[in-house]
Amino acid sequence: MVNELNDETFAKNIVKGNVVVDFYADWCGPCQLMKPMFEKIASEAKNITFCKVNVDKCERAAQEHDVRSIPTFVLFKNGKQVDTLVGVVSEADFKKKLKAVFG
Amino acid sequence: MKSDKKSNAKIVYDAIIIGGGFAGLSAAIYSARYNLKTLVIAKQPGGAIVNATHVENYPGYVSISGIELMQKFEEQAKSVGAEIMIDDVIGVMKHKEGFKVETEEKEFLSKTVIMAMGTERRKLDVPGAKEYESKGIHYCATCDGAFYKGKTVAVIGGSNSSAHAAMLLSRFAKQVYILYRGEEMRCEPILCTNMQQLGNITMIFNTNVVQLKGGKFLEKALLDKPFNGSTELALDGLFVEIGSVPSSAIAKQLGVELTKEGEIKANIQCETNVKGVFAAGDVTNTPLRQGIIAAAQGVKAATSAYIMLTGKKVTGAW
Repeated sequence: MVNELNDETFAKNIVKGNVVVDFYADWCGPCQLMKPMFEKIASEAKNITFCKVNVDKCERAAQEHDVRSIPTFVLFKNGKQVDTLVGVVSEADFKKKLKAVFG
Repeated sequence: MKSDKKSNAKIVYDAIIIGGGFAGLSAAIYSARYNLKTLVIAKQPGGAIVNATHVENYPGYVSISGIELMQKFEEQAKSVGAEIMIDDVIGVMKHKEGFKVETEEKEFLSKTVIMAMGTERRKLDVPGAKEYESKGIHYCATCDGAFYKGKTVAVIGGSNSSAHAAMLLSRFAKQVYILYRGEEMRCEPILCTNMQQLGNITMIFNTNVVQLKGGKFLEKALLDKPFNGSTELALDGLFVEIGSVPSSAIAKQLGVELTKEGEIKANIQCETNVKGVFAAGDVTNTPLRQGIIAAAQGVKAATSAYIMLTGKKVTGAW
């Protein structure tokens, strides 16, 4: 399951554990392409929380994490930003990144 | 040596189509309708056009988003039995069944291959360009323009894509510059008219960017000619629209003949020099890179594959 976050709920949802956040917009074609794959990986992965942030509605979260391109996937470990993926990425490459960062 | 890849070797497709844009999906529709067992392997379903918010020159649609248009292509391809998967083909080699097509973790067999990999954006090659990628330098105005509300941005390039990018950005940014090495824009005249009607697009001609500078993010572009008395142009963002290069690496590996620009050489029937390999769309030496042209080439490539496999005539001189 992928949790939708906003500027108010963002901080408390990334503070603990392994978290991946998808920064996206509804009008962004590549974001829509990545959506099913992100949801699929979310349903399969263990010990990782998957969230998403609509950059049109949550500008602060995007600015605070230096998101200037979408889709951007930000990986957090106990609240600390540890890595990012930008753009359309294959499922294999996405999983490789998650494994490399979260183990 | 035994491969570690997950093999679908029991299935031999009639046609594997590499690429899921106008050419690839159009080929898939025709291939499947010819009752050929068809698989599309696409790194980015929909291809490059998914980045476009408004496609206004594809016949049949006054205006439609790129992703919506390609969703229609995909729906049609699936409805006639084509399989579509998202993956990145890393190699194609000859096989006793025809060809083996490999992704990082899987391999597939097919009697024919239709190469429709399209193109990749040409990257800006000046100091600072790589450092500031996604930190002020972008290759997709549709995706990233919204981050520049009230800011100053520039677009490099003089084409239709550049004009579209500038017009999109003008909705968000307070000022948009077009930086072009030519004397005038080479886009469709209607786009020049449209841009002139917007109040915040300034065109700077006969000028190149020679360096990009900033701190954590891009702050300025250095120009080879002064603009308003300075060769430094303060910018928050720079959008690059300087054309594209054919994604033909796997074709080259297989021995498919390329032009000196790296395009796959396809004849009028979309055949290549390798028997059983066909090519369509922007990856080929097409004279015009437009969706409708790519779609038509997809049809020709699928038809050529069908004729090769069945020996049947289709129509006319073919």
